[in-house]
Amino acid sequence: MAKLQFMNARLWRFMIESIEKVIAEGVFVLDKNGLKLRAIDPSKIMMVDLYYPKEAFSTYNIEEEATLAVNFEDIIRIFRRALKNDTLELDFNDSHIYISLQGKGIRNFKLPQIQLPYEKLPEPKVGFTVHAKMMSSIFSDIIRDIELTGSSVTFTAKQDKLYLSSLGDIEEAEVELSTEKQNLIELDVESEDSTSYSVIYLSNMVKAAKVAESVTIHYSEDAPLKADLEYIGGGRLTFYVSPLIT
Amino acid sequence: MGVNLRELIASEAKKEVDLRDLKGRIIALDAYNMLYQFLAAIRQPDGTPLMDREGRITSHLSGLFYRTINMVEEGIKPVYVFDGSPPEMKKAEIEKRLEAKLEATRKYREAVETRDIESMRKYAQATARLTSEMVEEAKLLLKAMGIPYIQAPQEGEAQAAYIARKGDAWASGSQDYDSILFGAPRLVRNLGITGRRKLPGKDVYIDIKPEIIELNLLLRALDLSREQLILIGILLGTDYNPGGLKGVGSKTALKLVKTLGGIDEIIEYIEARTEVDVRKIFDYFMNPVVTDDYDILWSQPDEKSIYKILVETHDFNPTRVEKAVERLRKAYRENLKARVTSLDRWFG
Repeated sequence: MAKLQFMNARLWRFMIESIEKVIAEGVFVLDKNGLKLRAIDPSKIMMVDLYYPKEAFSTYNIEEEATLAVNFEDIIRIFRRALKNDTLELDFNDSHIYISLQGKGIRNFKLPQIQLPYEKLPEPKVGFTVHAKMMSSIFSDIIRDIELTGSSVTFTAKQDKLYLSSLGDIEEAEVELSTEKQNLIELDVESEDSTSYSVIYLSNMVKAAKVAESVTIHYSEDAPLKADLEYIGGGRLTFYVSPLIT
Repeated sequence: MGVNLRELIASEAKKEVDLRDLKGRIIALDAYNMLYQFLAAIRQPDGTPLMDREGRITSHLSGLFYRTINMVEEGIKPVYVFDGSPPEMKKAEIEKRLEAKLEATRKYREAVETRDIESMRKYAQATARLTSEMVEEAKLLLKAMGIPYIQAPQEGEAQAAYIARKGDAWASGSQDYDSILFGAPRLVRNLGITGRRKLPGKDVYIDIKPEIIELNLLLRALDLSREQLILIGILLGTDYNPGGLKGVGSKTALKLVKTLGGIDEIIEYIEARTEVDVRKIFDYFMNPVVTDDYDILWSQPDEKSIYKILVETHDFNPTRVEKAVERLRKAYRENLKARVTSLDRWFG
């Protein structure tokens, strides 16, 4: 029986809420270094890559390597019950998963492990030319602003500024970001590239971004966008999104 | 209609998905199959199809218009493939279908006399007939909508499978399984009926989702070659040998093909027990008459032409049509003109 404990159950709740928007089922791999999940949505437009080092867990008892196959629609229903200050305890064997949310009360849930083969996915090979690091709250706010007006968003980099714009039927939105205005922590522009993405995929990340420490966006001309969400204890949730090519 | 492989589709080979999971995918739709589905499904409770002021049926146009818009809104890139002239060996099947429709028409009239609404609906659906006028109108509507269509020289399903095999489409789309036998790497079912649907004869509603069937996974699950799968189809009955071999169901067919193993042995076995030219049918599935003469390009919807066909000619509600055209224009701009590529390109 493998056993994991994590101090902040709500952090997992929000990460899983975002992951569930991309994939219905997935296989976590747990080895001596930590927990990993890499999966792609059926239309192969968005990819999720999660890594949480074992040091971030208060308990991490895994004998050699273990896999945990879950249906995200099922487990998110349980994780949504995670309250502030709840601790997460997770035990599993080949057939079942036991989730325990421990705070003011102890709530135990048991559900079957699903049968799902583990397929190792490669990482997309992309040379990024624009890198922008920001506070996670800024990222969530921008996406919410852009969602109002259109379904695609264009990232345009200038020497010291990054513009996100969206063109709706009648409305337009533009967000200007720079280190000078302090809404970016870092901006590195190797080439002044401009690429568009579907907002719906960026929206999928908002929940997970809410509980992240920072968000770093990487992209280049007509290439996928990579968003690195950094978490407390060295956890990282990366999303890749395919570009829109006109 | 079509070969019935339903019982043989192993659960590993099929996957139920949401429309949005097909985003960015080009799907070669069997146009006749879709239009028949619309004709059968889009009806009033007593089975009367939608009609314009002059009594002309418009169910097929309504389905084609609104269903296609739903698909492109979700990012699916449809291309419709129309049947050409049927191959000679389909004659028996076509006669059989005509007879069935005449029988349904007779039963429909009976139901009308007894005011049996449930039966009226059931038999009215079975009488659904697609005239060449209706087909031409469907093509005009697609053209106005900016959605491409391809004219197959013979079977639409064969052409759709060919397009998918060449990689010009991601999958074929139909309710029938024939395109799998024609070699389509993937078949998407339920695209014309996705959503909440009433079960026939019952007051029960179910949620229908698109279903993807993968040829490779199917062959692997059944441990068969495509040639063997075609022969199973022939044993069960195809459009070219309706009914198949008497008394042979899915299980027996699978067992027979595995026991006999070789293609020639299986063909000989079936030929000894039926009148039809099994070799000819087999060859047709392997090498159907198809064309390379097609373009798959989406274009800006032509509002005036859509309005003319639907509102001016066929009395569709102008407000509904205008709203739908608005959705189509937006979907064209976002999903058809702009291309969402898949991450595949960067996995190199």
